Amino acid sequence: MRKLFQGKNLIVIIGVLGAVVVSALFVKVPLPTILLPAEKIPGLQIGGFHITNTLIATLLADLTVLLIGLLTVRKMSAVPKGLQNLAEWVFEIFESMLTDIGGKEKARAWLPIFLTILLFLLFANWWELVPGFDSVGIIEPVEVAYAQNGVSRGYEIESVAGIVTLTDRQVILDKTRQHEIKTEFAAAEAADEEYHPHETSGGYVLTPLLRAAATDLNLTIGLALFVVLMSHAIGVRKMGLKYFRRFLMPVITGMKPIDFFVGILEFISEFAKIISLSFRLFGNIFAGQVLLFVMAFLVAFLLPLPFMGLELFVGFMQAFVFAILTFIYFEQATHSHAGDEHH
Amino acid sequence: MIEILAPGLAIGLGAIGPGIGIGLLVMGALQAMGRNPEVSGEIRTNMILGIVFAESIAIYALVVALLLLFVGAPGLQ
Amino acid sequence: MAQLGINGPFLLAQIINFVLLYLLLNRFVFPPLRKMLEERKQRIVEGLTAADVARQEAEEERSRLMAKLEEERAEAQRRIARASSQAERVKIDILTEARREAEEIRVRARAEAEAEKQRLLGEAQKQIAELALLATERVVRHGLDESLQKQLIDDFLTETSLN
Repeated sequence: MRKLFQGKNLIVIIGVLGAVVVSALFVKVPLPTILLPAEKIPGLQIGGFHITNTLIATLLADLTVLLIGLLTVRKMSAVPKGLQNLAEWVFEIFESMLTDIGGKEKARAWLPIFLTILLFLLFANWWELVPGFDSVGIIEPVEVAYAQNGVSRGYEIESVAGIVTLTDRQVILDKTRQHEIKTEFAAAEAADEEYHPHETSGGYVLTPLLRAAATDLNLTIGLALFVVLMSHAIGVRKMGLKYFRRFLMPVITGMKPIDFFVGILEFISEFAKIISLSFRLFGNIFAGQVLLFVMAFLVAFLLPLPFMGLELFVGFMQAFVFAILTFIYFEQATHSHAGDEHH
Repeated sequence: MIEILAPGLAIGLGAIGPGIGIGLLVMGALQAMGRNPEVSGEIRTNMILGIVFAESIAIYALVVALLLLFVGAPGLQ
Repeated sequence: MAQLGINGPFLLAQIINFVLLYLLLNRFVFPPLRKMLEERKQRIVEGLTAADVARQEAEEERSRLMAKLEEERAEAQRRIARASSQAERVKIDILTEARREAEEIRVRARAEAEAEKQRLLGEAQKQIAELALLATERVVRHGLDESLQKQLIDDFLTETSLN
């Protein structure tokens, strides 16, 4: 520890701190537009279907998982090494964990879906930390961005070494201008032609090509819907139509008040499952993204680093939680009544 | 003004309860782990699940906040 | 819903996306991995059983060899004992024989010496008698005076001592 502040190390530390101070004073990173819906990428359209940046990120995560999976199984040997070792370790550690929760049979049956969710979300979340996410994209006038995505704040642009970047000088569309653009855009849409604003304010907006996949509610709600519907399917397959008794408690038990409420609670909890699953993932990743934006906005260098480490952890934790909750919902669906066997 | 204040209050107040809850939960779990270190793996898994369920309360607050922020409450605008 | 960015086609696209990923992984990645793990487990179990069997066999072999070794050692012990008793007997035989022979030789030597002594004594007596005869003859021939007598005796003594 004493050697940390000697010789070359000292020079490096001073250099880094100097760079941080200089960057904090002179290099201003514009605060990216924080937008809840995924941005449609201008000009990228397949069959009338605007591709969004989160969709691209989703595909990227899919490909990553698939590629790693295929690389792992391509060259397998009885004596494992490298990637295969890691894959086997992951496989076994989670299988034993699921066995602890739900027993051997269920762990075996649902390990694939558990691992698919875990790995997919893990890579989807970790891709967010790769440079280029949220920062490389298409720059367009704020008017167009407003018409497409509803962004009302743009920045002036400048060209540094052939690369066009945003500066930190803001251009904000006022209410009357916004209204004008809306009507113009609606007219262009009606005539089925591309929208060009008749005057530009000089403000530009960056539409990133890639944005963390889980910051799109479509992904998280879609996944949650899929999981909850699958759990119902599993319950029906296990118990037939008896499965639905848990929601119809009042009818079967002759309307005892307590059972009436139990039935209603069971029913509501199904929706609560979807909401909490999807918004937990979304909220954590979205908040992490905004946190990184704000930290980079305050000081461009060094300051975001610890938060990136935090996001690494949060990304894993959220993927794990989503996957383990999936398993637990599946497991619960196979019990005759949610309260009977588990307390 | 109230359009900005409302979502902030929603998530801010909504996060108090889960925050305390998660704190208590982790405290209990850590004490249990300290007493019987041999079952700490099981306790950890259950702790994470408990945290997740406590956290979902905050998630509902987040949903309300997001709805207020981006969709708006009827009658506010 | 639109303000939150939720829309039907994207929702569906994401679900389909995920289901496809799941199907692909479940088809191409997880089964080989599981198979590999099961195979390894099988092999380890087999290996352990084989090792157990081998160890047991080795144990049996060892105890068998030990028994054999023990037996051989006992046999050798017995042989040595037998040989040493035999040797003892032979030694006693030889000693007795030697003692007997020595006794015989001694007895014979004593007998021989006795015989020689007897013979020498006889011879000496015979010579003495002859000498006495000779002396008597001389005395008779010369007559006896004192000096002569003395000389005679001296002569005689000289002669006998010379013998």
